[in-house]
Amino acid sequence: MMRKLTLLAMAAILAFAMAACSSGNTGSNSSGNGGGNAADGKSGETVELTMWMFTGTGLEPFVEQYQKDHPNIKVKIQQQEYADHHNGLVTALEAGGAPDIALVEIGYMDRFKADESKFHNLADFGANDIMGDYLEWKKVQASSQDQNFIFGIPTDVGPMAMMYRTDLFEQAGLPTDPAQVAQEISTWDAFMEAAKKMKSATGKPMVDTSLSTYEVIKGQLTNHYFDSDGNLIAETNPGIKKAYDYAAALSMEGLSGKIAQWSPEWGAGMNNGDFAVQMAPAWMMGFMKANAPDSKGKWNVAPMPEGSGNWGGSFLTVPQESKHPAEAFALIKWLLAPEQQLALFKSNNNFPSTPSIYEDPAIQNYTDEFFSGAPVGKIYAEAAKKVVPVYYGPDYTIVNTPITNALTEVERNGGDPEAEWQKAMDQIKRDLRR
Amino acid sequence: MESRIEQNRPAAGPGQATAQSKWRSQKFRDHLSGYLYVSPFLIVFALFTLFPVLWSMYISLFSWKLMGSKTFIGLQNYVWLFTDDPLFWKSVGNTFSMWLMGTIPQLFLALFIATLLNANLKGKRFFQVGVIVPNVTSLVAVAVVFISIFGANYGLMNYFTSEVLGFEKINWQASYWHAQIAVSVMVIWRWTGYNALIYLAALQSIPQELYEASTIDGASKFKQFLYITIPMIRPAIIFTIILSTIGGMQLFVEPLIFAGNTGGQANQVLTMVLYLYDTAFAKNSFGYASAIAWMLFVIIMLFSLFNLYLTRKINSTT
Repeated sequence: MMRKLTLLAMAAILAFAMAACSSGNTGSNSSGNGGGNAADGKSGETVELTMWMFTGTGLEPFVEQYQKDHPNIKVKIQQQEYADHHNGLVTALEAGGAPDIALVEIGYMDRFKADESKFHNLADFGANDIMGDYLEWKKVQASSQDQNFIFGIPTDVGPMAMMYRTDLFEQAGLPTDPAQVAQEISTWDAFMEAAKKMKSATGKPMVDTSLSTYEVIKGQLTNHYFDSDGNLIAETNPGIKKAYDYAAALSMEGLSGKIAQWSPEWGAGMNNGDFAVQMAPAWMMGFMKANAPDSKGKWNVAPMPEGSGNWGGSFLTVPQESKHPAEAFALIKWLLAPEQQLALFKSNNNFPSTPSIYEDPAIQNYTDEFFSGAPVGKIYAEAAKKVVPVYYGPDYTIVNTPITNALTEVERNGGDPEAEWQKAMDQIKRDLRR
Repeated sequence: MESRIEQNRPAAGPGQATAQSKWRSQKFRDHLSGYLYVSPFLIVFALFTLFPVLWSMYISLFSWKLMGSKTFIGLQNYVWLFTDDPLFWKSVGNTFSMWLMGTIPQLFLALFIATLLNANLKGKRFFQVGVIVPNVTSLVAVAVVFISIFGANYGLMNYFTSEVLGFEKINWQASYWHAQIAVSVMVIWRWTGYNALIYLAALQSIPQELYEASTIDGASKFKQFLYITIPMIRPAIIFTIILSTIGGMQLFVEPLIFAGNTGGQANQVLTMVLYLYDTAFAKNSFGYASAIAWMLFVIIMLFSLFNLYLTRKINSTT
């Protein structure tokens, strides 16, 4: 009898263990009704939403606010560092365990867009009604080629401007007034000339690293590494090679500072004036203020040479696995509505993707003492309208990494640009064939 | 009680009878319960170790981008690995060179610290606890601190080499050997104390009489160390060598945080495991990554056999 009991107990434990192994992420599959009454948050049972983001978006307080207004919605936010977040998301989408809402940055967007079956089509929940609020090029990035499938709603955009150190520009005999700077440094050739002046007069490099200049010039192209049919054009695209050659020339002339972005040295370099120019999207202003407090008032802002550019900007998506897509969409819709984006601009300097508020006095009259009182709101609004949509392609980062590695090798170790370029092209082909 | 009834029941036929009694016998039940007792481990092992191992062998025959379909390509992944992947062989070389640079100084240093700790110095307990602190510190925090130390412009290391010693500033992250040295220093910093404690335990188990006898015979301290200490702690030395080998082959977090996914722009600190990680989780080529994993298995296996041979040899030359 005793033995029998033991056996039974063992079997029970086993069954429990197996069940625990297989269940994984059932978490909250309560109200599957998903329809209207739950979405507007007045009635219905509590819905728990999981939300994955990378750090630094500034969205958390708004999610808090939404939960206060909608007591039946509970949001669990999980934040990770940028690359970890996206790599984890890829794995979760494939293997299970994806959240109800996932933030996707533009560099990864095309990789996720390659598989429609992993996401809810937000058009089914009425996304078409609000897409008109957003910038045309963001709409293109957020949807499938034929525009029928809407993957996500745009968060902020990263229009770019040129931040320059007025103290260093003055020492180098360059103009310091934004209008004059814009006029004198209107092309990349002129930028190179100015960089040479900077080097000979002050001994300081013009930019942090040649890499950032490459990214900026590349960002002004309409085609990058893949054409819209998905063919690899990195090697044949003349714009890419031109950007590469320009960046390599910068570093070979000693005009770049060998300071990697996001390294501790970078913030210190901004603070101490180790380089004269920082090409910065709107969201980077917060970073500069936090990491280079001593340089307050020494920066001013001018448009970048040869037009605008965009760095970053993300989308909030609803993975297919979500059991509450309607509630998730309702939250996204509110979170990214023009009013909230304007508030987020004020709190976190994230630049809105909704042009209707660009004329709002809060943006038009927005100046910043850190940047010598420059009208940054106006400058970025102008820049945002000039951005052209680019097709990145699902394997964008795979192609970009060897090229940026090549440029770093040229800059840091004096590698031969042509040899490094060839090596990068070979590596790209190896990485893509697998 | 059920079984008693069974036993009393007349047999229906010879074959059935033996089968039934076998099924119901005490011996069989003992076996069964034995298996059930170990089954929780076996099931977890099968699910989380055995299955992934076999599965990775299976998918190493495919071209599989995570967000897409699998295509069977046979042994093509292995052909590429052997014939046309300089990065893989570079990662193998890096792993071994950093293992050498990290392990050898580390073990000597550990032995040195252990002998110091074994001597009668004041506050011994404090230092004994102190040497283990690096080992329990969060690895990511350690790496972040070391990135600052090895910074090119404002790093502590460069301050020392350029301001104090008067050398030129070194770009630790970018140049090949310097980056490897920096990562090796991280490994040394983390593991020296741990090994020192193992040596210390071994040192304390050496009978004091041996030293007394040799002192009477007129042996110098150095001779004592060479002919008494080293032979007596040989098992501990072999143990630490094996442990450092395992650790060295798996070197991953330090280079990842120090130089990123690709182990630096020239892959200067790309290790085998880091290459595997990059291929699987950044490039999402799971088939190829599985092939790398199996190559890793073969390489580590060969190296372990070599290691075993060496340590056996050391052990037998007493």
